[in-house]
Amino acid sequence: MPVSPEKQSTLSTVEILSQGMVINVGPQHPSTHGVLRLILTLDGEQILHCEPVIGYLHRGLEKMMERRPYRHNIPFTDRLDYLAALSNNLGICQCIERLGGVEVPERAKYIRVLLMELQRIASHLVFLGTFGTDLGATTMFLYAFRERELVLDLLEECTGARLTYNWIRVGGVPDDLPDGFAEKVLAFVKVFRQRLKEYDQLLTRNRIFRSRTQNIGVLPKDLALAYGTSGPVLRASGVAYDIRKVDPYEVYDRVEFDVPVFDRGDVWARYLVRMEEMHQSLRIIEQVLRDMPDGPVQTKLPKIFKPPAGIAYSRVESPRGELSFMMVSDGSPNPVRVHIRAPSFVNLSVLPCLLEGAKVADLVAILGSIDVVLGEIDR
Amino acid sequence: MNEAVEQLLQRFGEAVTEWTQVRANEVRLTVKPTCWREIAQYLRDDPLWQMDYPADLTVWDTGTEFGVYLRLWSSVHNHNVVVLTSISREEPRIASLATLYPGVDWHEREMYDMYGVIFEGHPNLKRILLPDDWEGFPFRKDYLAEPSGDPLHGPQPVN
Repeated sequence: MPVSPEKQSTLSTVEILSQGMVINVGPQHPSTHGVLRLILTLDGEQILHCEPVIGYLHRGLEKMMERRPYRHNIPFTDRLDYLAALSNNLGICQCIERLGGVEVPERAKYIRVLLMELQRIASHLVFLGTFGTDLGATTMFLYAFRERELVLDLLEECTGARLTYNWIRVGGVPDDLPDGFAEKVLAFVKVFRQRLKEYDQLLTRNRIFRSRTQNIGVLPKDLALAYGTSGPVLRASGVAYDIRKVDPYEVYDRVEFDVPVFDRGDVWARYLVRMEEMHQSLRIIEQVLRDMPDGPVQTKLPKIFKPPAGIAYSRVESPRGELSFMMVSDGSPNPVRVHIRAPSFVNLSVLPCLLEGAKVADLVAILGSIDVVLGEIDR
Repeated sequence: MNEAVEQLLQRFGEAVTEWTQVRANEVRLTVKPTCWREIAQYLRDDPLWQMDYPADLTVWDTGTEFGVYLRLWSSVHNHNVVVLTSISREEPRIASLATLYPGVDWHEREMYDMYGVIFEGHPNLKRILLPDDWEGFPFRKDYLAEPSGDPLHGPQPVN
């Protein structure tokens, strides 16, 4: 018996509903923190499936690096994770140092750690501000950026730039700290400890904030490991994987600090890890300033730098997780291959798992809690 | 870690062509590409290894062949392993590890995108960073990188 046209139309509606509705988020959307596109399949307000589309910022940096001498590639790394440019600078410099067997003077190591931790605070403050805005707490943005300005002023005084520092060099740092820098940093530490308490009052103890983040976007420990996530995302799922402890570089084995780990694995835990990390960074900064020896800050290297043939990798704990550079050398002045293992790239790949079954309203909170930077995802 | 390496060598014999102890908790293995997946699975499941964290996977082009690089970490033993192999440039095929380690899924897609390496058994092997209709594999050493042609579809040969 043929189906009447009316019946046909109802059938197709049922069919459409059972398949879910496809909507597109991004690539131009303020809550995606860059040019990230998400293709969502929805059933009502529940997300059935999510497919991230990336590559809008792809510049082929890895290929560009093959065409330049080793040390000319440091400025490129500023453009990877542009919220933590110094971590990227350190990553590539460490890799070249391992490849060429370059020693770094003691004082330079301390300066590097000092800058890394200031950078971590600046980056986490951007997370805090934008995460607050994502959830509707606009005030947080103003406070976090007010304090970030203090860090940027310090970094500007030391490096001359506010975002793309290009300051770490192979074999050390280009110049010593400016006069009176230590006092200014200590003054900042004192102010910032107070401000962290204010943040706790504003967000951490806020009931609305808690209900928007607790038990949302739960990432179990085994999944977090199998997906290779790192940084605060992995530590919020109960794995104490911090490169600064697991494979200490520079002087991280000589300073005392704790690695915050939470078992909940939800958005709330990822937020708490970052808040606690800022406290720990302040501890590290104080110890580094106390113990910093005098001496040279750079090793002299030949004008044309040719590391021996081989493969080397380095890894640093950037604010977003394990940032690893892998380089292949054939003994010529240019690298054969530079590979950047960007923490955001891997952390984003777990997003479809987190979003499956979540509500659309929680999408922004979950994505914000992973804290991706598209510059290093697309490279 | 020595015991673990010995058992691995016993189990796989000639498939592991070379190995070096880089540091106290790190070894570097060079293996034959035919046993790529078996070795990765062994490293993941063997209680002496338990390499449960896929840290990195990448490919490089030497001009004559493709090298493949895999780095694993164990959350139980804090061991690091770098596994290297090389595959032919003319027919770049290697077993996919995406079903063993979901974390290498995107890495393998990226390497397919940039080098055209076919990861056999990958559930969703398609371009990830470049547009779907891009021509050629830009990270290969013989890829024409002249700034001519349509920038959205890839460079064209210059006459």
